[in-house]
Amino acid sequence: MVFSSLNFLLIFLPIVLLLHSVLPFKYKNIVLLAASIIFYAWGEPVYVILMILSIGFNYMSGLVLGELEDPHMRKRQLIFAVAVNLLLLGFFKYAGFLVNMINAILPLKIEFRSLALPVGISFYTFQALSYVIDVYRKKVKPQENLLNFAVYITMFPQLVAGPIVKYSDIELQLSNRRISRAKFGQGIERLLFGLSKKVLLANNLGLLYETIQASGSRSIMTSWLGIFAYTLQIYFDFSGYSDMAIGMGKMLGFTFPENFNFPYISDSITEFWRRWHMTLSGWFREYVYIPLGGNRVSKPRHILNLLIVWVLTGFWHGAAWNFILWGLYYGILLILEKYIFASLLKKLPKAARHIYTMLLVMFGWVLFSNTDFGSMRTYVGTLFGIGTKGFLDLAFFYYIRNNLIILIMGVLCATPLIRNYIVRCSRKKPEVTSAVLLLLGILSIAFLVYGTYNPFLYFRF
Amino acid sequence: MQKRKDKINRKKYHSILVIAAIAIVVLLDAGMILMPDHTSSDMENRTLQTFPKLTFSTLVSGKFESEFETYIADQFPFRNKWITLESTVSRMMGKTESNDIFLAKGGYLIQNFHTPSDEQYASLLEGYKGIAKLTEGTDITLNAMIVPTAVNIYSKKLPFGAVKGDQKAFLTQLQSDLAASGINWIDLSEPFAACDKATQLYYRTDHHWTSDAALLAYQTYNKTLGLNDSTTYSKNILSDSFKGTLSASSGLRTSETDEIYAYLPDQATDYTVSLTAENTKSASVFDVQSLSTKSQYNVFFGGNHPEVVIDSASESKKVLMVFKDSYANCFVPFLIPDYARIIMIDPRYYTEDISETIQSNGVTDILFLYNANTAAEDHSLYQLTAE
Repeated sequence: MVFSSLNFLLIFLPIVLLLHSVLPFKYKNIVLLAASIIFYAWGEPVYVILMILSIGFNYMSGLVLGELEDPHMRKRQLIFAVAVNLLLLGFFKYAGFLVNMINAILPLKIEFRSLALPVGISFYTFQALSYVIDVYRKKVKPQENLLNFAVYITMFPQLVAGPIVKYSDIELQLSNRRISRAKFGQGIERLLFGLSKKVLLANNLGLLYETIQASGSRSIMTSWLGIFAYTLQIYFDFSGYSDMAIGMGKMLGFTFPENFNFPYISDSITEFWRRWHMTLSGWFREYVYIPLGGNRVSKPRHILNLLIVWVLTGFWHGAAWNFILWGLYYGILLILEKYIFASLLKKLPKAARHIYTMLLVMFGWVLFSNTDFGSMRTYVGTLFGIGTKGFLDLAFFYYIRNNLIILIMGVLCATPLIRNYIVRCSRKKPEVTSAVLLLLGILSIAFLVYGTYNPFLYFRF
Repeated sequence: MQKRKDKINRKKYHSILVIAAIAIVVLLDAGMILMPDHTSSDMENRTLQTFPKLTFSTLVSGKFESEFETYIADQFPFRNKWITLESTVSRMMGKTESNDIFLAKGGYLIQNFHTPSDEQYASLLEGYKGIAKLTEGTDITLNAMIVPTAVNIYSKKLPFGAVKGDQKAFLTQLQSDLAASGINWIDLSEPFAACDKATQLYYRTDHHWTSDAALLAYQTYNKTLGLNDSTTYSKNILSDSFKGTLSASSGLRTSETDEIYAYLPDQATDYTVSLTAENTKSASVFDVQSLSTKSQYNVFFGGNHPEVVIDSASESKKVLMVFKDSYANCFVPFLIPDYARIIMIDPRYYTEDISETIQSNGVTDILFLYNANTAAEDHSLYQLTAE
């Protein structure tokens, strides 16, 4: 099930929230677990088994780590637990990629039937890892209640697209949380923000990017407009999903960590990654970068550490070379900023730093969005005038005209302006502000219904 | 003081959100439960999903889930109103295009054209060549009349800068490639572009050409082939409530209607129309019943059929075979007095042995009659001759 669907928003979620709100506390986690499993199984029930195995294994690992005293045994147990988690992730997510690579390098032809990627496996594996590692580090006590642990791993609001919630973030809330009307209201507010970002902005911007990418010959400016639209799309798509997750979390009495903090207002790449997908970069910092020694090592070693972390970050996004390239791209940019550009950047005016950052980020999305290198090369080419029809064409104005309001809204909503304005208004004119927000929700429903508009065209076969 | 008021307002704001959101969800859910399910949609011209069958196997395979989602969407309370709301808002935000259909000037909706890729084009061409090959060593003449569509002829009506496929270039290319296979080209681009502004060549809400355009095409056909043409016609209105496919598939201008006309010759020739696959005969090219359905353009021949045979009391001895799409349906009636027999083949549905049909009917002329969009997309002619 996806959040931005009629059946989720109008049937599944209301039922879950109703049951979760009215039932006494001891039933709340049962409701949540049942809901999460139905949510996960919907449309593809097979992989529930995989998730249940993962829950059982990590639950046991936590208990064992809690029992063991001997440091060697504990370390062994940890390595075993981490390895099993990574192997599961590796098998389902990366096996096809590795087999293809081996077939390409060695004179072998390994037959491989690629499996569908289990939804959310990248997210829940990382959550499970954070749990076992934190138990090992004695940062948290092992969860003895299997139900609570299962709720942590499966929790449907953040199961498929984050934020990546560390066990320590919600440890207490699993066994004790309160729902108030104010919190519920905040949750709805956040959900409506997220829904509008996803349905009204991201979907339409995505359509623009697709159209431009599919158009054969285009001008340089049109190509830039395309990647600009994608830049906005991916932000609203992803942060919209995170907003919805955080909002639903609030309605269920949880406080999830924030995942995005207006990344497109950043003045450097370093800052961008402090604002973009914060729970993922936080995870890598805590469980990979710092254990490798972080920056408290020699300069070459530090550079190596950064490269390792960023290649892994890229690879986490998908089993394809372009994601590795994208991660490496950021690794190198961060190293350059740290060791070479730092003083240079400081001298630039703020506007120039911002333009520098956004151009690099947009270019990064070209690498990210093209999973095959042929189309990547073509798109990069058109950005710089290779294979284009001139600098500017009429199509550019046509696309701008058709999407002007969406683009302007996109730019404004990518800054804190609109959000702060809404918060300010809600203090002065609560009736009008809530009406506007609800109207956005209703409009989102209209766009979702339109998305299923499927006229039968009798002139096509 | 101000701080306190802000806090109270913020609380009020959240309370309104909670209550109103719950109210909206309850209303919509009540609508879903209480309103009767519909089995079909007029607006979308298709059957709607009803409540899916729930069994263990449909649940595990995911069939139930996906049908359930379609069910919720299809039976959504006031579905058509929501769709209209979306297209109204999209239009207000400056959108001039929906589902590949442009919101053009003068009340027109105009379908885009997509240039086929080189491989697609090559296979399209093979279709024509295949038919031409069947006629080698015979006296059969081959003509092609590929009708330019509104996106080409009415390009001035498109929104400024509209990104469209180059149909002119496609037609020019096709003309020269067909000539190489001995297929004569009947050009409509020029007469259509030159025709006076008062003549409406295409429907506003539908992708078809009008009977006026078909008449102009018939005159051009005669002129190009050097046939004499002295028939006079009277114009009859068939419908003034035609809502075409373009408004249906774009969701734009869904309340607008078009008029359908037919030109009837003042001196009628007797004829019979036989639908081979359906095994029915009729004395008219018009299917009046279609006027009371959504697809009113089907008034011509009742829509597309694999094979339509028209035998007329014409003095001519010629037998014409037309490879066609639905554009031919309002054009072929003009040809009836000129041929003893006309065989309309819609290659998209035709499954018989075409060379056998050509021989047994003693075909003397072949006409390819498509609109440029079908000509650029439809590979069935190739499939017909490929076996």
